[in-house]
Amino acid sequence: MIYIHQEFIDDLKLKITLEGFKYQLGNETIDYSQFTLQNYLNDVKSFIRVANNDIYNDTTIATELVGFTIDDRTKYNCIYILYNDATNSINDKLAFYIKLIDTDIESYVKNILLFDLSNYEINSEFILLNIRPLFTHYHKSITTPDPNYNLYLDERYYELQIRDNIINDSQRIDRLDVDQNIDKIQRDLKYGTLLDLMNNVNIDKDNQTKLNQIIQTLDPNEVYYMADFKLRLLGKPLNNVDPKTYDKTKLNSIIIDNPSDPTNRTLNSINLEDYQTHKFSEQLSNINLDDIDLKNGNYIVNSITSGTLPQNVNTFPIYLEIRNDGKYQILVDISNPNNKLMYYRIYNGTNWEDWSTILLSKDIDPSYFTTYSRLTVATSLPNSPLHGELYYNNTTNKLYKYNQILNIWLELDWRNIITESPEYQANRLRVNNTTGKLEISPDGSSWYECIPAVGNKVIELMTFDNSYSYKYWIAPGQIVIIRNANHIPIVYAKDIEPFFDGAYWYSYSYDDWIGIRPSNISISNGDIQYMAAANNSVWANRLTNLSIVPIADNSDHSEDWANFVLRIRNNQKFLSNAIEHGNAGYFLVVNNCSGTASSMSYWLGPWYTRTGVNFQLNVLTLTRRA
Amino acid sequence: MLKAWIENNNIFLSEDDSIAPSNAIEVPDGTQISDLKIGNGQIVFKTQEEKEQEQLELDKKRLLQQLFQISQKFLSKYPEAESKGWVIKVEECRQIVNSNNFTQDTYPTIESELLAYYGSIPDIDTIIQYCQRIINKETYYKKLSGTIAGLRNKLESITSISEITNIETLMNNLKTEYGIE
Repeated sequence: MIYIHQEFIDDLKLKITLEGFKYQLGNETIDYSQFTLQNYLNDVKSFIRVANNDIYNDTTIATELVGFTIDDRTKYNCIYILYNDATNSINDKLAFYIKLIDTDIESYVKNILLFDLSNYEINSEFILLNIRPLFTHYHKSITTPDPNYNLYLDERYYELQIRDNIINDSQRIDRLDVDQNIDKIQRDLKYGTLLDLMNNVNIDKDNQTKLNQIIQTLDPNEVYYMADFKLRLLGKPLNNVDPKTYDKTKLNSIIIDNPSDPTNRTLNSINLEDYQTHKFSEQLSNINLDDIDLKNGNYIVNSITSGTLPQNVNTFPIYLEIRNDGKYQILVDISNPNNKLMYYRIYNGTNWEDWSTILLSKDIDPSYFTTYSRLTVATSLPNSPLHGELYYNNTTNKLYKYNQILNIWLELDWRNIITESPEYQANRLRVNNTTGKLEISPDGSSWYECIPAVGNKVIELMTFDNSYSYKYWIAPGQIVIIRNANHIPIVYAKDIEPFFDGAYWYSYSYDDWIGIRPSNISISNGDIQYMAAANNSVWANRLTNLSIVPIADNSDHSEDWANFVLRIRNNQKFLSNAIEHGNAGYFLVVNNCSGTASSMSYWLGPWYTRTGVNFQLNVLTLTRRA
Repeated sequence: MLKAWIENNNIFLSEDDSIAPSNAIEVPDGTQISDLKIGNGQIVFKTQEEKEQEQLELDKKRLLQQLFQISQKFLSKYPEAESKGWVIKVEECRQIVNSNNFTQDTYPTIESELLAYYGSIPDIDTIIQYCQRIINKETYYKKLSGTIAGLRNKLESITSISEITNIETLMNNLKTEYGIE
């Protein structure tokens, strides 16, 4: 199977229409609808036979004519021929004979280049794409062709041209002496980046993205203008696949002939990096998106037969960019101008991970964002979500935020969000490499699972049970709302000495002290000093040896409220102050409390009375201050 | 079973095996941390006598606090300058009632009070009635003071928790009688 990319079929057609070529072919009429490379080559063969039988019939060196080019900028034309020289033990090598055709001169240079083809499927596209341009420049640079001149490569570079992001086809290769080292040429054509030219080129990438910007090399005499640079697509087809799903050609080795003695060749090789296209005009159809045999590049996908598209993407065409040897996909729904999202996903070696979503920056509207979110923990998406709602999947460990305007759940990268926290910096917060879950530790050895409550300024925790199954981590500054809970499901790391502010009310009527048991562990040194006031009376007292970290004095009324500040020292000592409502519905009580939690405590714990009764708060808002 | 352990001379008690340290001991379900104490560096159960004694001390402390509150709440109804003059004022009232006579510049406390209340010194009958009310109030206060003193003494002297209930009842009656919440 021979495949020529459309770009080069057009290129060939262009060549065929050249006046000179028409003349040589006797002004034959070309039926473009029947155009094939083979027909084209046959025509060329015929032409060469006519032009010079000696060349093509030189069976000692040439086996098949595979390529032909005309450099229309010079009066020289070039013919290159596949060479399979078994007698010289250069199997799988491709030799090129250059036939310089001029109205006055007919001559050729033989054994000028050998390409190591062991890694390539030899076909005309390969030659056309990779080799022909080399000679284009050669012809351009030689003013007086020497029939006996051995072409060899030295100081070469590609001349690339970008005009309005349209890739133009041209290359240039300068001459060099064969005994000099041949340095590699690296380029990232996707970005028009010439990474390395003769190992002495630096690129100003900032300027490079603009048209007509200068590429400055280390050699002050070498200045290249982007407007004069040209990029070209290199590729080879795969068998039995859609021609559009071609692999990229990697020209990783060039073997240079010894010009002085063709029978005793000294071969040098160099490595060239992948060539990439700057265009994304490649049109793909009927592809399997999950199993697409494409290397890096940019494509327009018109249809798929199978594979996983991002949610809400169901129309075509889509823009598909492939990176990292096909293991990273970026997708934009260009068929829907209202879709303000970009998607990406990564192949983890076994399967594709879920599509992640990026809101395109130009479309970020502050009005989309709220200050309040409900956070639900579940294994499936909540029904009828509202704008700003948070959802944590505790199977996949992914956190999403619903954008009702875009009608999509946007994934939040909580793993990065947590890294700035003091406990993460102190190695007391981590993402378990095996489970992928967030974990906190009181000592750096024992780790306990928790859920990242991040994603909005104020988060109402919607998922917890009163047997303490769910525990949440919050960052400094985070506010959480907890309703009808018999515990505070918030984790902490004593080493970073966190501070919390709390405000609550509850309806539990009980005339005694209340507080928390950190990590649901009874303590033995709870201590409270209070001062109470009722009408014009003021009194005070102290209680010690409580089994709770006391927070406040409860009242015998069914409406009780308080504000408290809680500090946790790195020795697990809890220090609290509270101003609260006391008995009779109007008493004022000021408290100063403390208690030492176990060294293994890591969450704030359930609410208990002094006498050991677990009870619920109706509403608690908690702010982490430090 | 629950787990109990000691850290820095503090006892901890948890039903969560996963969080208890390896040196934690098992104690029966239903154990309260108030049931435990540290003896010779080990966790031991308090005896019934110890627990009752602790409870007695807690209750005594709690009731004593209530007693202080009763007194404070009663006294807080009156400005401090007034209550500090009660003894002198009652003595002046007794002299007036006994002599059935009021002479200006002789009873400075009651004379100032009468002027503040009436705007001028009233007739002798009105003065006698006014002084009699003050004497009665003094009796009322003395009963409260005596009851509080008796209850405090009793609280400090009791040795059995069974006596707590009686004292609590007396204190509640006292609060009701004197309108103290």
